[in-house]
Amino acid sequence: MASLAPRFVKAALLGASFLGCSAEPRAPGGASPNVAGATAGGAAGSSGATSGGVASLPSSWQPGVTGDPNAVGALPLALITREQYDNTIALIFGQEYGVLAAPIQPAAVLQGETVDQSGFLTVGEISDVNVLRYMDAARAVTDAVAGSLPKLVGCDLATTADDQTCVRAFVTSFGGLLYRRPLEAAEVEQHLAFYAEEQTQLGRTKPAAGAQLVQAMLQSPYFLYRWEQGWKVPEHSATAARLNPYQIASRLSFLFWGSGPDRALLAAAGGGQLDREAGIATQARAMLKSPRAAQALDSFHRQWLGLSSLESSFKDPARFPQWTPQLATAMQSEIQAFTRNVILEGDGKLSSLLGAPFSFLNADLAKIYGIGGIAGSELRKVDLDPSRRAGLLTMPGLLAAASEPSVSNPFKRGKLIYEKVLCQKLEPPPVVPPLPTPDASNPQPVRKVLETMTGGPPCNACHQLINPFGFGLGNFDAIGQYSTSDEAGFPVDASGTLSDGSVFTTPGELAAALGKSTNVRACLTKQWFRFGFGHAESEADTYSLQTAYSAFEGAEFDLRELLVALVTTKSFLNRSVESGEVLP
Amino acid sequence: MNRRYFSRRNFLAASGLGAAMLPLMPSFGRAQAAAPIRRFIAIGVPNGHTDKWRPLGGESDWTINPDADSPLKPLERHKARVNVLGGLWLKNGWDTTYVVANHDPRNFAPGSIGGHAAPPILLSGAVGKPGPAQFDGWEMTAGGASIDAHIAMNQPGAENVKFKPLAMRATRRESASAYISFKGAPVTPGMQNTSGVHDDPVALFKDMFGDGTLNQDDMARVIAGKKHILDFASGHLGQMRQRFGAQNQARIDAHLEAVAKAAQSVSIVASCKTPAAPDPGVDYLDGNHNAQYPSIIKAQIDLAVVAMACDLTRSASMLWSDGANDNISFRWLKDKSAQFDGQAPAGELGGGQIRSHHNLAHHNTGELKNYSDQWFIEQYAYLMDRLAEATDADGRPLIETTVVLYCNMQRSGGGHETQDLFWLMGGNYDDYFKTGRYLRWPSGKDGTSIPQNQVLTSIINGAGCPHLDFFGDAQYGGELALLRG
Repeated sequence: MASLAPRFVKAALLGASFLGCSAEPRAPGGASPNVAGATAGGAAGSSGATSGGVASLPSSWQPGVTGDPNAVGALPLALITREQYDNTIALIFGQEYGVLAAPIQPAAVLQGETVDQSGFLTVGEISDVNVLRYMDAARAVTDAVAGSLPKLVGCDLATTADDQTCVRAFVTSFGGLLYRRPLEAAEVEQHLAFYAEEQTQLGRTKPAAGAQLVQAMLQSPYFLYRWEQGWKVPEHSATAARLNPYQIASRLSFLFWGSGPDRALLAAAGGGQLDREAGIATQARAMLKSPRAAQALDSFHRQWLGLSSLESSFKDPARFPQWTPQLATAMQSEIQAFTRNVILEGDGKLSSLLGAPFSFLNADLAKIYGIGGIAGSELRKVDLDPSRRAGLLTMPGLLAAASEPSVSNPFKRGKLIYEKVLCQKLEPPPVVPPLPTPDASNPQPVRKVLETMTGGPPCNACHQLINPFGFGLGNFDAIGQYSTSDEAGFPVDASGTLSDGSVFTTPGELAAALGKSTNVRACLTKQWFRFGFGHAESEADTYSLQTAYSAFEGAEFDLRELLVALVTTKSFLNRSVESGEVLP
Repeated sequence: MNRRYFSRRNFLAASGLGAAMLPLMPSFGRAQAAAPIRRFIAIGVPNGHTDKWRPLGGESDWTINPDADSPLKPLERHKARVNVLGGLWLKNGWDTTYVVANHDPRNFAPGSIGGHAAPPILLSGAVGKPGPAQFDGWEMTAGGASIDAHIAMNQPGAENVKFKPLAMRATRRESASAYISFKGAPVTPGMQNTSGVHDDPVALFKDMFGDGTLNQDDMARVIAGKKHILDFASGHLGQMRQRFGAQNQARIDAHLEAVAKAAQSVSIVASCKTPAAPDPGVDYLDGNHNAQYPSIIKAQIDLAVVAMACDLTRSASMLWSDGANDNISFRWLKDKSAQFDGQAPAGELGGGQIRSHHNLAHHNTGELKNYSDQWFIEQYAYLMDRLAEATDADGRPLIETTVVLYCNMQRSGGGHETQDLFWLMGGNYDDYFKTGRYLRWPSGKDGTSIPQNQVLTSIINGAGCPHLDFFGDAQYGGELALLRG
């Protein structure tokens, strides 16, 4: 095994270059994390948030900071993501109209998605190419349902005598789902005019004109934008406006389901059930119980922890012949099964998400875990050794995604925890100093080599913050298998101390300690805010964050109650009024 | 009659468009412009260069390193048409407000803004603006248009070509560092204002040539139908716009502009013969783009050349593939070294690992990095080959009217420096530029290096655009007179 040492060190050095480091981390908010490495110093907080494009002051919120109860942040205009597009198409054409037997992925051709400052996917400024691709996606949808046009529209346009009545009813019904609000009378007429023009000006048959109308509606900005500013607001001042019930329905559905609302949710909005916070909370709890909640949960965890690349990860076949696309998919499925179980069926606690000693394994995964007696491809619940495995952070999928092809990478893993689980920020790297060549003739424990390498300035400024977390997961190789030896053949030292005084000696203890950390609890509050609200938090959201956190704390850190609390906050239900905006 | 051919007159008749639409239909015939057509292609690559990349000798007596793994070796056949530019500096990145305001300059050597984060400032020339997180956490974006977009939007006689510019990238990575072509500074603060960027050769081919089977009447109906839908969308955008304040109005305006540009684009049908389509067997939408990478690069080069020959564009850019190239291995180069195959014997340096371009840049500044860079130069040389073979409507080889700029974002892979860069400038616009030279400036750490703006300004002026005293920002100087001899 000792012969692997130089290779490991080389890979780890690569990690160093990913991270970079600087001598003086900034601390704009003055806040120091109370969970970090044993030598943790001041660390950066959130930088200037742009809130999906709306420049605003960064939030200084941390637990206990109450903020201004009257402050209301901006609600930036956002385009739906590819995932939201596909989920909404599946919901409307599949479930609501029954004209799509199996889900399709028309949004695969769409472009312009990037991870923004919130850490979650957003769609950037639109270009002509985006417009062309929206056209292609709409065409893909209408092609997929072409044989079911009479069922979709509600009549056979080729034969019906009263196509006007039929199309009018369709526009009203389908348009409501697609635009996530009732259409006004003039808008319905506008759609009928389009349908007529297709026939009179372009010479299309009625069915062809109907199909064109569907395509046009799929390219309307009312569908493509999460336009939660909307036409109408129930109440507003000069600076703030409350969202109307349909806009609240839209926000709820994108958060809890990853799609637009269904007919029942829109009916609830129309029926006054989303007018008050209590009704919204009731609706939120019901939505969490829907099977659709799983797709939003999966999306959150995949984006939050950067798991999208798992299936396309390359692993060295000489070292890991068991690595296959099927195994990678199983790892992703394991994470989904676990998070769904904890949040939707279990106790919902953050401490369980990060500390529960069980998982869901099939035969391939059981081999990674070194557990016998499990056959087949179906996942089943399995209890695990709590010193080795505890929750999400010790799952092979996450560990493999934050590794090199041949070896693990403590720096990547430490950075992931520091940035994503603790919501801390590292400086961009300066010029990376020349990296030493490892001495192949004198192998050393991996941890010792890396500590020596990063222990002095300028590297230690950042590495002292991240290394303890990476070393704490030092028992896991590049595909997440547990070992008591490191990749150079020396015993693993996974011990460390968090700056809140928690001592850990095993990966399980580290994960469990993080699950009870105030900073991790605060970070999850922020991460769900960013995912659910579609933008990074700003100073105006401080009061809402604290309100949600208090409810989270009051529910013994039950993530479901955090979500319910978030959607009843001032920031979720209100927005600032933009300069120059015309309110009804 | 070849149904795939459209005469300008027949198309106009079929589409019901009159002479008033002539200005929108330029691909059917070029106006008699006084100035010759000038074309431009920019290529962006990350991860720096090695010692063997650098030519030997001086300005006029330079030679390419003769070793087998010499990165520039494939360039030998185009040597007379190329200038090697050594010692450029992305000073606009270093001067970006965000960088100056948020970081202690003592921690950062001049020009050291992370090279992996450089795509937005590579071709824009302007000081950066605050934006989404690029690689390594630099939160910034382009502060102005990139050169490909500037030329496309400002070149006389090119007002109505289909792609303005034709921007492509060989990745679908969800990263801000995966774009080099920008329309300008952000419309919405904090967002990237990229050009429309094509990453799927199949979709791009369809944008160029449709499905190649429609007759003129059907094609006219398709175009009219698309425009009808875009009008419908524009109507809704206009309704939304009325409700917004200034900031969201600006975003809607950008959307309206995009729709208008798309509507113009779909109206322009290629007047040249439809070429072979990209290989349908390639999964161009695969997120990883590893095995498909050579096919994607080749398809995009071929489409760029076709678009130039058919006058569908006069300005293009390609990013190969983002600011780091973490995803790209070179397993197709295993005949050069077994280590590229990811199965080198255990115990060897890097044995068994994927040899991504980024990995190599950090850990192997020898043979493997050289061969990987040689592969990139082969693609560049292939593009030059194609431009030499293909002719425009006047029968002239495209290479005579095209400049192809190969722009690396970093000096070395390990250091991430954005000064002392080595670029290639191929083509000379009918000897407007003097090529066949190796031009070398000081390393730049003392501030004497040449901002890339000067090269960009020279090309913009050489391309016949309205004369610029400077491109991007005045502080970086104007034309580089040396390029003209």
